[in-house]
Amino acid sequence: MLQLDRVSFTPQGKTLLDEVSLSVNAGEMYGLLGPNGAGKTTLLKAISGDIKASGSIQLYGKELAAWDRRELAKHLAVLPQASQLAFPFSAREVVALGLTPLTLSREQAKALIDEKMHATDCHGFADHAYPSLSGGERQRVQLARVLLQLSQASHPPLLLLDEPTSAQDLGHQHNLLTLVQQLAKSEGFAVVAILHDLNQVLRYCDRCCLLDRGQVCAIDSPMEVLSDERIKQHWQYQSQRVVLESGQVVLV
Amino acid sequence: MQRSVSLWAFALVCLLVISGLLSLVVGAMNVPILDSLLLVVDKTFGANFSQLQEYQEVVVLELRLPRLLLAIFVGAILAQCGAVIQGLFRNPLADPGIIGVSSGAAVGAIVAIVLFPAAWGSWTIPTNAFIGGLLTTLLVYGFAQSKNGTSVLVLLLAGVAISSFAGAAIGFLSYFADDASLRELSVWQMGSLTSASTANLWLAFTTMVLLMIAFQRRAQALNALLLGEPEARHLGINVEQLKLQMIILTAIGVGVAVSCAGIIGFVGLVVPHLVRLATGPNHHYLLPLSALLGAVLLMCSDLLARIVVQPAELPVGLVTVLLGAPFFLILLVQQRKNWS
Repeated sequence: MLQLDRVSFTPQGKTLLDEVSLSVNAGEMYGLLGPNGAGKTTLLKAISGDIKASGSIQLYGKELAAWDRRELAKHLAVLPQASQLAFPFSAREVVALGLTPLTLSREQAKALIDEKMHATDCHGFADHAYPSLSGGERQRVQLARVLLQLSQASHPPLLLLDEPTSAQDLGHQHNLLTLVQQLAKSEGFAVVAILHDLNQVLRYCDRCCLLDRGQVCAIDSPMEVLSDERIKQHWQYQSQRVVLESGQVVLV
Repeated sequence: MQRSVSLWAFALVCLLVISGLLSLVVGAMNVPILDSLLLVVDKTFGANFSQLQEYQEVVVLELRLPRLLLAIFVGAILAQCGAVIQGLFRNPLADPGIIGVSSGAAVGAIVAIVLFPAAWGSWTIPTNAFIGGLLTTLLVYGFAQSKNGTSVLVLLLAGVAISSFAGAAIGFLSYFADDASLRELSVWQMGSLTSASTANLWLAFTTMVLLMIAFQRRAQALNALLLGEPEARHLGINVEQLKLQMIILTAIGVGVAVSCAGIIGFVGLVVPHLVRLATGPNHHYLLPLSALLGAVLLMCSDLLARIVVQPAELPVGLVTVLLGAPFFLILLVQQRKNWS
C-alpha cells in the first residue's frame, strides 16, 4: 500500500536520502534501522510530508501530494518522538485532538476516546494535565490520539512511529509494540517504525530496511538483514547470538 | 468540564450586566440611579417612566451608553485576539500589545491623523490602523520564525524593537503635527473610549461578531496547533493557511480596536490567561469566555478611569497598563524556569 520510488532529499547539496525505494504492505510491521545519521528520521519525515523530497511516494497508488488533507490524515498518522504542549491540556483533551479530521457525533466520539485510552492503558490519568505526565505516559496518550485519528479509515491505514519505545520502561515497550503488532495483524495496519533496539526488530518486525548514509543497504526479514557481518559493518559492533528455548534469537 | 464552563459563562454574563449598569449610573455628573436605568427601559420599549432632565438624558444616552458599549466591543475583540495570538505563537507571553502590533496600528492611525486626515473619509484611520497592524504582525512573525518553530525570545525582542521604532515614528510625526492633531494623537497613544460614536460602535460591533464567528469555526484547528505545527499538519490542517488567516484576522481586530480606542494594552494578555486558569486551554471555551471577560475587564477599567480623579478622568489605557504590567511580570517569573 505504501510505495516509495527513488526518493531523494539533498538540502544544500548534502545528500540525506539517496534514491530510496521500498514498499510496505498492509498488515505488515516494517522496521527502519540503521546507525545514527543514516536518514531514518528524514525518510519518515518525507513519508509524513514534513519535508519535500524528490521521487515518488504513493499511498494506495496515489501520490501523497494528490491526497485531500483530511482524507490523508484519516489514513496516515505519525506518532511523534517527543512532544511538548504549549498549554496544559488534560490527557483526555490531547486524545480528543485526534478527532480533528473526523466527523463523529458527540456520543460516538466519547465512546471512541474511551476505547482508545483503554487500549493504550492511559485511562488512569485521563484527567491529569498532559505536561505533568512522564515521557512514557505522554507517548501513550499520543498513541491513543493517533489511533483515534485513524479510526475512520476506509482502507487499512499507515502508522509511522519515530522511536516509539525510547521513553518507555521495559513493560510498556513490550505492551506498545504488541498493541501495534496486533493492529497490524487484526486490522491490517501498515506500521513503519524506527527502532534502535535490534532485538525488538527481530521480535516484532515482519520486514525491515537497513539504511546507512541515506542509502538502502538491505531489505528483508530481520533475521536476514541483521547478520553479524552487517552489524559489524554498520554499527561497528561485534554481536553475538543467543538462541532461547523458544527458538527466538537474541543479539547481545 | 462542560458544567464548569457553563458556570463561568453565567457568572461572566452576570458580571457584564452588573458592570454595565454601574457604568451607566456612575460618573462625574450625579444622575439619579433609578431614573438612569429606567431611561434605558424607556428607550428600549418606548415607555415613559424616567424623570430625567434633557441634559441628564444626554449624559446617559450619548456619553455613558456609547462608551460602555465600545468598552464591551473593544474588550471582547482584544481578548479574543490575544487568545488567538497566544495559541498561534504557542506562547503565553504573546499579546498584540507586547509584540508591537498595537504600536504598529497606532503608527498607521497617526500617520492618517497627521498626514492625510480625510483621504478616505471616516475610513481613513481604521484602514491605516489595519495596514499598520498587519504589516507589524507579519514583520514580527517573520523575524521570530526559524527552523525550530517560533522563537519566543526573538518575538519579544522584535516586539520591543518595533514598539520603540513606533514610538520614534510617533514622536517624529508629533513634531510636525498641528495642535488639533496633537491633541487627538496623545489621546490615541494612551487609549481612551471617549471617541465612541455611532460609526465607531458599528465598526467595532461588526468586527467583534465577525471575529467571534471566524475564530470559533477554527477553534479545533487552533487546539490542534497547540500540539505543534507538524502534528497539526498530520491531523489534516492546512497550517500555513490557518496561520495566515489568523494573522490577518487579528490584524483586523487590533486595527479596529486601535482605531476606535487607541492603544489599550494588556487586555489581550491577561484575559486569556485568567480564562485558561479557570477552564483550560480548549479554544472552544477559551474564545467566548475571553470575549466576555475582556468586555467586563475593559468596562471596569473604564469605570475606574472615570471615577478615580473625578471630575477629570484618566485614559483607560493607563488603567489597563497599571493593572496588566505587574501581571505580565508575574508571568515572566513563572516562565523563567522554562527558559533557563
